Amino acid sequence: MEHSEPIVFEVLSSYSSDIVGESQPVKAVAPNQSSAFVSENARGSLRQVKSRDEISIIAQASALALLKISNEQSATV
Amino acid sequence: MNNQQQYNILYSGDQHHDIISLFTYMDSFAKNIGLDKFDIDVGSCQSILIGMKQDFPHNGGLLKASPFKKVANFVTNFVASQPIKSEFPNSLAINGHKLNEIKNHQNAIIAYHIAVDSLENAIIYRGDTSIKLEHRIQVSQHTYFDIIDTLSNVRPVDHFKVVTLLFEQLAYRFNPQASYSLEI
Repeated sequence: MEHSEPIVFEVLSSYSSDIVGESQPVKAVAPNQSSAFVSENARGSLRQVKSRDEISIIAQASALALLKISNEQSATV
Repeated sequence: MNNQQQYNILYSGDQHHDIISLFTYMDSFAKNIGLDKFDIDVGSCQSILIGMKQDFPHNGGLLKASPFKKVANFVTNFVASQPIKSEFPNSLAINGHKLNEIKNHQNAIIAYHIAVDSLENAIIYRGDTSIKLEHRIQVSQHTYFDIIDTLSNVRPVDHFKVVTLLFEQLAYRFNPQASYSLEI
């Protein structure tokens, strides 16, 4: 896999098409796996969101939950 | 795709949306744990999101895969590619153990939280039935640290299946109605 040089974001609030690149169609290719593990038993979809703001709020809630646990511990040390 | 349509965070069907969703999530998470600078490899993120769909490890392809396989596919590809270069703050600790003492912790943490957030309210289609995973995965602090430690060095080719099972069983624990009957 080719990697580009890391770049620094200070606050990622918007993204240009130059950064994101061209849209590409989603393509599912079945690899050569024969295990029963990959049998077609239950398809599914992940959580649905309506906007970037909703994604941001979801991530914020997860981060703050982690931070809260961490802060509570440091306060009791 | 306009803002009124609903779409998946990682598998919207539009690569442009997926990369923006991923950056949005990472940016918000990083800011809220106290990072004011966040180094990421943008090219790697693009490669992860494209590659994980083109080579989806399911014989029915991406469209027929379970949500657990979808998140495991993301987690293993993301962690192995290590797109986040910034380490998380020293202050971030669980049970007195600094998370940043785990090598590649930042990628494991973001991947885990995206997986858990993506599985909350995910839907499983089993035959004619659809089952919503209404209850969020929760783990103890001890288990959280161990999961991050464990996920920090996963690779798709070696760990896709076991990571799928991890998220499947965690989700079933809080959504037992979604599980197959327990018989063995």
